[in-house]
Amino acid sequence: MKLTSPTQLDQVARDFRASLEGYKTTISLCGGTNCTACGCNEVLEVLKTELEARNLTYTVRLIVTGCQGLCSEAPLISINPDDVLYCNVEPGWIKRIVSDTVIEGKTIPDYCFTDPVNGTTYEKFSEIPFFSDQTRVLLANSPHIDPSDIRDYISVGGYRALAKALFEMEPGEIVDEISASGLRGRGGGGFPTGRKWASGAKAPGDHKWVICNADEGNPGAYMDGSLLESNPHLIIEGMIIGAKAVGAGAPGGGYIYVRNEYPLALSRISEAINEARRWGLLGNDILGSGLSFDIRINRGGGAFVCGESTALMASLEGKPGEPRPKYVHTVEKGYHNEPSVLNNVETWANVPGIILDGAQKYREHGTDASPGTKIFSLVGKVRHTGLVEIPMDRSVRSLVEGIGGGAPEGKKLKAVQTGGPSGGCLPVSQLDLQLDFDVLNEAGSMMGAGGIIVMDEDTCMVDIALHFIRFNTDESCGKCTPCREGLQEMERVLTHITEGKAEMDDLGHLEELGQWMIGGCLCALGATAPHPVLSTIKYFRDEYETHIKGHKCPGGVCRELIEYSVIEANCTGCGDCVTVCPTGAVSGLPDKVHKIDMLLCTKCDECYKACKFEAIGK
Amino acid sequence: MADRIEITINEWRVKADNREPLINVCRREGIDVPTLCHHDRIKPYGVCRVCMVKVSWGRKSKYVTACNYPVENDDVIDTESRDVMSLRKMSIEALLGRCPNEQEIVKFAASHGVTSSRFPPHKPGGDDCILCGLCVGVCNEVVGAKALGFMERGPEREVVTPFMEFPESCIACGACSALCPTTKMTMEHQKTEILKSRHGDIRPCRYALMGLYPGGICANNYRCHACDVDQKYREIAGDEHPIFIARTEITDGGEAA
Amino acid sequence: MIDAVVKIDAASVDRLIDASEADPEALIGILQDVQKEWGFLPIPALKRVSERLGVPYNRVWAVATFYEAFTFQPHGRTHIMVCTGTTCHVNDGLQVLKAIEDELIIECGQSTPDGKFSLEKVHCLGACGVGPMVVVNDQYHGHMTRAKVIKLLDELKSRTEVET
Repeated sequence: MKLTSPTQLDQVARDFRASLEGYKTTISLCGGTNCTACGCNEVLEVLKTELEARNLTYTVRLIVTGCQGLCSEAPLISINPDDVLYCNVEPGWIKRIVSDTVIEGKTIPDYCFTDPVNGTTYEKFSEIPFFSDQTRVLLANSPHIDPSDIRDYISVGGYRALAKALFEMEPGEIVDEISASGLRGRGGGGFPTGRKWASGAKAPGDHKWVICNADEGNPGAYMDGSLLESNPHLIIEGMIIGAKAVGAGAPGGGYIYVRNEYPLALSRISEAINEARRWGLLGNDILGSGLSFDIRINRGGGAFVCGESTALMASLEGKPGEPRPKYVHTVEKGYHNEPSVLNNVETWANVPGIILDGAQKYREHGTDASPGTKIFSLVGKVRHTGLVEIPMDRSVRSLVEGIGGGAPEGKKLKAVQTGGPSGGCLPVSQLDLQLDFDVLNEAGSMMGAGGIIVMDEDTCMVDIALHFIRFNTDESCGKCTPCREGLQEMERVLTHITEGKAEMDDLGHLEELGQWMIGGCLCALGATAPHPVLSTIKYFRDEYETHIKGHKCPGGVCRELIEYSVIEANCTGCGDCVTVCPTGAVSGLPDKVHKIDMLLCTKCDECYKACKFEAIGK
Repeated sequence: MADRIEITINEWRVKADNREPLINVCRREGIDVPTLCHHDRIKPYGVCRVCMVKVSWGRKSKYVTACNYPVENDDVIDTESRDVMSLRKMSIEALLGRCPNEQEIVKFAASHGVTSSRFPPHKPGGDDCILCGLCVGVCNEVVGAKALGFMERGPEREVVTPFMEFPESCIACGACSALCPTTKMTMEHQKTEILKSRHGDIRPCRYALMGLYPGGICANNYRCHACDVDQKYREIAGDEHPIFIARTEITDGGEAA
Repeated sequence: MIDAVVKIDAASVDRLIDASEADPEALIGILQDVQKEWGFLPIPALKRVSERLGVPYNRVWAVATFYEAFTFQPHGRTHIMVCTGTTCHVNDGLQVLKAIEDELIIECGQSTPDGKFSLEKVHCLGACGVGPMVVVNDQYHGHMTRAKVIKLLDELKSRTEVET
């Protein structure tokens, strides 16, 4: 049915809630990409069969949600109204979950989240510190709504901000509200969204475009994909409001540029757009307001550089994703040389909340210069991985050691990488920095998309720098000299360092290359690409020196520089290392000290990982 | 007429049109800014980064490429400060490292004080292409034959004919090889060889291929520079035609390449 | 870059082009559809697309070679993608990649001679919470280790035996 007035939204919400009254329990199975990778589809099949077998389909509502957040414990199932979260769910648990929790209302402590440090078991979802320490605004509904049903979104207040923007606000007022909120672009640079919108609104032209950048290629950051998977209508609503604000209604329009590597996000957002059209929230005369606006989806072809605005627009036009100089901004001349307002997924997702509750309320979180909450993907060598939404006045430490629980297995934290391939590595001494745009920039890193990659003592900082340079080399479009040649040269020098073939002068060469690229590259990909190298040289210079002068890799990663040996005093002869060695390089009699034949050793690190007694040295 | 503005270049106040490419202003004022990927007839591509200069507004400044930076009122431009020179030299050094055996590049580098490079070539003997894009630009924009383009990206990026096949749309005008600062562009040569291998009335005059001399047959074994037809069509088509642009500005009029 | 032998009929290419209303801007999407149909981008199909859309050959070729998603060689029947994103990297994803290379005796980017397996690495698949990640024919497998991936390959090998 097509909605033709804002009051009908309330009717839809009432009808939908009424239709749920028959259900006593709601089971929300997380169907995000992380849970999918851990077998949630098998769990779903078993769960469906069990509910049918027990004739519970009329009293139990089963929904597949997007990412619920605690990815290290995937697959996740949450059960409401009991407020229970079961972690690492296996298909074999389903019978007991249905009989005990669903039917009898008893929580099963064995399946609940248990803190690995103090052994506390949390029977309530909302009491788990990983969640209770967060300020979930954008992610608030993700664990609870069915992303494939637009009514579910409407029933939790969805599209009300749109109704307000369409019927109670002038375009200028919307822009002013966004400006007053201080919202800054969540894609990386942190440019003030209000200022961008104001330029877009002012730019002359009948055809204007609003574009959503969902080409999230930043390794380690997956909040944009997760938002599209879990709450696609939030982004659509934000974009329609943006379209009214800047004047991108028909004959202009909207585009969402989605990474092809995100099949689930792609299908969810496509489905959501179709639903929104069916309900009259996209298309002609939205909600009877006179605004006509539609969104088309464009699948990216797999190029990180397309996250750069000019490259993205070239790609939308069906060309190779090569950036052009931004002496004229895309908000004046972008897609088709027409005014184009480009924001990333998370930025658009912030819009409905600001419009509905006002800029003042938005500013209650975060700092003056970086207001609001930010979603971080907390990953790497940290106990609890997942999506975390916190205000931008929190410290790196509270995120990594507090919510994340620090490094696992008693290892020491070494560094935190922020900002992906454009960002830098912060040492432990910088952990008290605030997670806002400007503080991170000053520290030689950046906010980027919000990927927080935690590294422990077993990580080699030179190897990490090389990893990012390789990534950037692969992803460089190759158009301008400093990016193309500079990255290849950095890769060559860093490889030499990891192989123990470098000299101290090479560090100066790397720094010089870095300054050249920062000043000379055509686009932001190239100009920020040296950050991982420069920041690691700045904070971990000794580690570079150990590689160059001592021919040693302190993290035990660079294979050319490590030799494995058995530490005889610790070896119990348990044989675990013998079992895992793929080449038979480790040998020894039971209960006797083992030895490693370096001629056979391929340095795969399996023995080191398998040893429980720290008896393998490297 | 465009708005007139005033900018400062190396502490000289000069007049310019609003949003005029900076390189034009510099050339007019006799300020030397070197370029490798720029040609007046081709849309600036801005990739060699050799024409880097600094623009400041009060305390803010940034590095821009002179070839495509549109000047605005009160821009303060610096074309030869130490930081600008070091960016420029590094770009030249990188390109010299890429193509150590291309004489034009070696000469160009030497004229800017760069005689050796820390960047080793990516393949033995060095590359023959600096990826300046002049050939692609002239073929697509000026000639319109669209017989050249880029392929791949990053380190693998190169100039090729579409599908790496012999390009049917090539008109053997020679503009690409005339503009090419290295020895990369020999395609026009090959095309001419193919034309030469044909016989009788299927040996079309190159001006026929360019649409200037419909039905024309070559009677001079493709020695165009020594042919009356060449002379005649220069007069008819005018110096504006791609092949003549390429010859008059870059080569001294012999058969291109 | 060898053009695999495959019969291309213009009508099937036209069908894909028409589905996108022969819009020159939809070039990337159309190429994705062509690749889905044949498993790779056959040159004759690219030429057809170029002619129908009125996009010159050189642009089609530039686009087809620029984007990572496109390949000119068919994938193996079982296509394995290993994530080399940063999180997977710090969690020893390269060892997982190496284990697969050793096991299948191919290098990343190649197919086994019998065409059963092909292997490529990708930058981040957005499942960083459970890395290292391996994707087999669109099926995601998280928390991979050397041992787990070898077990997975054994299963896949016996499955392809049965199929053939």
